[in-house]
Amino acid sequence: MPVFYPMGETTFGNINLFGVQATLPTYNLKPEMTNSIEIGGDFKFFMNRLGIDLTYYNALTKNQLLDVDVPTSSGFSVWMKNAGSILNKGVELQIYGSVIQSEKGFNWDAMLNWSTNKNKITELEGDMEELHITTMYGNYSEVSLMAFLDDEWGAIYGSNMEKNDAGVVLVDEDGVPIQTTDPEILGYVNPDWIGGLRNTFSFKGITLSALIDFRKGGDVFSWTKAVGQHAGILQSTVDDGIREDGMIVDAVYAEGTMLDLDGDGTAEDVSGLANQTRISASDYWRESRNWGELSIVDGSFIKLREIVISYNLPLSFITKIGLQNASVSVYGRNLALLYTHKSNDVHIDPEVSSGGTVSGSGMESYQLPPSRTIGIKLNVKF
Amino acid sequence: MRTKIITALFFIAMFFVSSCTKNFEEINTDPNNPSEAPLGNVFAYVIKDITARFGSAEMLHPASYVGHITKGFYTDVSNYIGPPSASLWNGTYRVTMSNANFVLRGAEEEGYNNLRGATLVLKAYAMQMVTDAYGQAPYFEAGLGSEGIITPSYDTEKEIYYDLLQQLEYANELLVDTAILGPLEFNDILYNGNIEQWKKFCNSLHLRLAIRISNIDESTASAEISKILNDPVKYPILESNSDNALLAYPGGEWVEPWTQYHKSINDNRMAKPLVDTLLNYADPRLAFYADTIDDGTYKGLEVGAQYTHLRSHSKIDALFVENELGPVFLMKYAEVEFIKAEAMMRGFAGGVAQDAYEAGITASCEEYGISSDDITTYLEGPEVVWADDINQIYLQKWISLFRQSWEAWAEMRRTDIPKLSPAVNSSVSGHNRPPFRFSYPDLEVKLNGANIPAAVVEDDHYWGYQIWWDTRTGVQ
Repeated sequence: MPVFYPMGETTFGNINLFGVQATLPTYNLKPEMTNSIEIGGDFKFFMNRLGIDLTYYNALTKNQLLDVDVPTSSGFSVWMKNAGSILNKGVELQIYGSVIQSEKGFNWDAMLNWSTNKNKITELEGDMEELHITTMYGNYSEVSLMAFLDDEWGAIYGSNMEKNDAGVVLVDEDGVPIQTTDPEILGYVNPDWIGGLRNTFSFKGITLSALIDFRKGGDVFSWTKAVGQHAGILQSTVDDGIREDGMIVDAVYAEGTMLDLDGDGTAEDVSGLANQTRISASDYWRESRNWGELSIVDGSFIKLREIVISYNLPLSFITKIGLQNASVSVYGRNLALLYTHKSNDVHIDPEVSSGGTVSGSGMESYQLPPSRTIGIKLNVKF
Repeated sequence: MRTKIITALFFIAMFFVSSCTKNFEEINTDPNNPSEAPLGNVFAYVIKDITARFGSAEMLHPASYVGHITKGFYTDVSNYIGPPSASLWNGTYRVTMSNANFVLRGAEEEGYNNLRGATLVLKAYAMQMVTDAYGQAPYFEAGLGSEGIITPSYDTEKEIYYDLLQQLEYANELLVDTAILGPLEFNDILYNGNIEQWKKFCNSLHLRLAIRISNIDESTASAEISKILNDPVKYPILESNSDNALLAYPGGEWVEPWTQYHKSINDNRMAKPLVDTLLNYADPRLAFYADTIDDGTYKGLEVGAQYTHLRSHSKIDALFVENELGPVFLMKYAEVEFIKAEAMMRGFAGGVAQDAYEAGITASCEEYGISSDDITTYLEGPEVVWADDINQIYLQKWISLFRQSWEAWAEMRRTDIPKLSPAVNSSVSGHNRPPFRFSYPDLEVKLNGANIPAAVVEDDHYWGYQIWWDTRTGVQ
């Protein structure tokens, strides 16, 4: 039986509307099975002042539950079923230590977390070679999130600039890059690795703690960038005087391009020659939505996630007023984005792309950055 | 002592086991996403969902093909850049069909014949829109994923039309106003449980289907139309504007779709073909459809052109784009009179075509509260006064179908009236008429491509082929 959702937050007039959900009811589901090997160790050195916690895992999940697209003409759009196997392997590392422990009461503790995960779709049901996870932009061939057999889950897939075998962009006789006829992989949403470093300094009753988070890789399809370029509102659309002087795309002419470059009055075949045709910035950027790679942002970042300064009130003072413990602290979260990749010229916070759901990963569309919070906290224990 | 304890533990264990089993269903049922829904609430959603077709996709596509309105700034879509919106396809199949099929099954089990009849009418209404836009399409196997049909086969327009006619015949039999209302008593947001009006809508839709195939299959069309018009007791049809099939929106979260779209992008303007016609005809409806520009005149924008500035061309009147409550019209009485007029002229039914023609115009004007004096004057106008010309009927129907653009587009393809050209800045060449049909959605091609008839060759997304009932010649 289909499952129903109430439609909307409020009644329509005074009627509650109920509709069949888009996911086709599952049947004959098999439990997911994971065979996993995990090797790890917890090492301690220098009288426990340095600790290393290292884990390697290799997990093959069979009967993986996947949302498989079905044509909407079936009355549904998704079918959740056992549709493949996924191999995950990775390393998790934690290093922690007391860098300084002074008799005068000054302490410095540090903790570093680091992890990396690689996955691969090793099997898909039947003769499927790809899974369409979600459409990010336009229609299927514009930009979609995909999973291909024998490849990493989470490929950003869409139309792009046509290139030759050497990877050089091809332009037509107008000097404008040519759009690929078939979509291609533009990036992958999973980061290469992620980590965090927390340093804690304490002296007498005062503690200062700072957390820095970082991530390497993890591509984001930025709708903000796509639309901003198309509309000509980003810095990149005016840089280097292209607004005033136009631009010559760094490219070669596509196969079969006929142009009169030598000025003899007749067009000759200029295939493979370096592009010499100047176009206006607006002619270029207006077309840019079809060239998916221009809207991909490398999601690497270093972020000052948190700083906390706290002060424990002296016991001698506290006991006098009948308390057991009291501390006051000032904290700030999401304080600064210390580094982003140069492809992030649209200045999005790469983390907002995660979106909370699987289908939201690697996709950013005009999201607000996470808010910076600064506060004061008073802890009192009677 | 020990035995007692063990016995006691045993019973305690039994208690937990049994209570656990007893509540299993309850514990494991998500109260927010029930697997059973009241038929009436799903039925109400089917109605509401069909009205969602009359939103941005209608404004972007058919409304500009028929020269009613057009985009004034973001004109890519007006000039056929990119594929058509898939929302008619996805909405109808994914939402209307899966929900309607559920209601039909439930209504049959419960013996709610009136609910069945009404749902069949809605399903026919929705599927006609799909086949009129796409031509061949999944029909008999559509929306049955929950019964294991994941990749439905395609049916021809003729097969679909023939079955829809039969379904409406059957729906009219099922709809009996002395029979039990069931869920229609409280959940009928279209007609408030008025079965007689459902019958009228059913048979009027039947007329719409029949007249559509009247050029390709005149004998069937003629037989169906005369059957209905000759027996008004068995086949009541819409008789006044109070019978109109319309859904008013409650506002708040639920905003009428044109207004909803207008809130996000308001570059739609009145198109030149309609404004020019209404000006030529001194049509009193112009003031209700369109706003004046600064100098107090009306000016339509050529389809595909960009406006020069925000106030250079007439906006659509607030009645249609700043009206959260709507309503959305599924079918109006005026259309029925125009169908009658055509049927009379072509000898499908007895009666005076002029009377029906004038009744259609009058009904259309009365929707806007235009006075009878003004209507009389209008009916005597040089272009409007009855001249025994079937094209007058077609043109008046085209005017009256403002904001029912899917139907207007289909009728324009059938009648070739008015004769319009493609958008002025069309991105594709070689066509002398606005689009013939929509290309199948990308995902449908990808996921169900094996079932798409091999003979269908898409042409510039919008021309493909002239669908079955489109018998125009010399068009491309």
